[in-house]
Amino acid sequence: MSTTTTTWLAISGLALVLAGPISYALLLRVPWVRSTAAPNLALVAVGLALGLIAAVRARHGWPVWLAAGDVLLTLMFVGALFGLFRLPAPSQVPGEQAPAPDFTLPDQDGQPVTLSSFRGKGPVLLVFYRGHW
Amino acid sequence: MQQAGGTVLAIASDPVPKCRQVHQANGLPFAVLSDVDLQAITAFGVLHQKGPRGKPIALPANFLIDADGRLRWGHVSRRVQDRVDPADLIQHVRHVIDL
Repeated sequence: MSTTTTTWLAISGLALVLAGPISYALLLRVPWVRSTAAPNLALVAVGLALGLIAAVRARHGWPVWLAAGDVLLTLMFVGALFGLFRLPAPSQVPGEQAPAPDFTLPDQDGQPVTLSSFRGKGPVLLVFYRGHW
Repeated sequence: MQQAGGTVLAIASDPVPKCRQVHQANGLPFAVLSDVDLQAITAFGVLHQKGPRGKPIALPANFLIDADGRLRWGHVSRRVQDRVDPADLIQHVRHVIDL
């Protein structure tokens, strides 16, 4: 009975640790999930806890190795989210209420667009993006 | 935003043909500007000097400028996957348009 419980804990632990990154990849289109990864990290945390409980109960053998795998997967997921994908800090972003720096740039048809030409007409939303590749 | 008399401008360090590709492939209802010289990207402080493949690119960022040409709100991503929540963005746009 006890062994069955340990087996169950170890396997569901690994399943949850794997479900974290997989569900993150599937839910990338949901803005708050993409930005925070909160539900995915929660899945991983629960999975890791189950795996560790299983390892402590078993003391030796495969549940311990599985728990070590859980720890490794968790570190990889957290490391990727917060380390690998970190961007450098912006430098000298103009402050609020400051006059926006003007520019003239070609649009997709090569026609020049000047930011200050919209002054007096209405607000402008600038969307800087990383480019296409 | 555009219905309320506003303008949306997308900016990246891509050359014009790449911008045209992005514009057409996504059927974008706004202009996609090419900032190969990093003029606007640097002016707004959102230069990512060593982007993927070592090329300088823009950090993902949004700036809202009012009709007087003043900066009213900005958001710069700190992680690759971090983006503005569209609902948040709409709130800020509404606020600037109402004024």
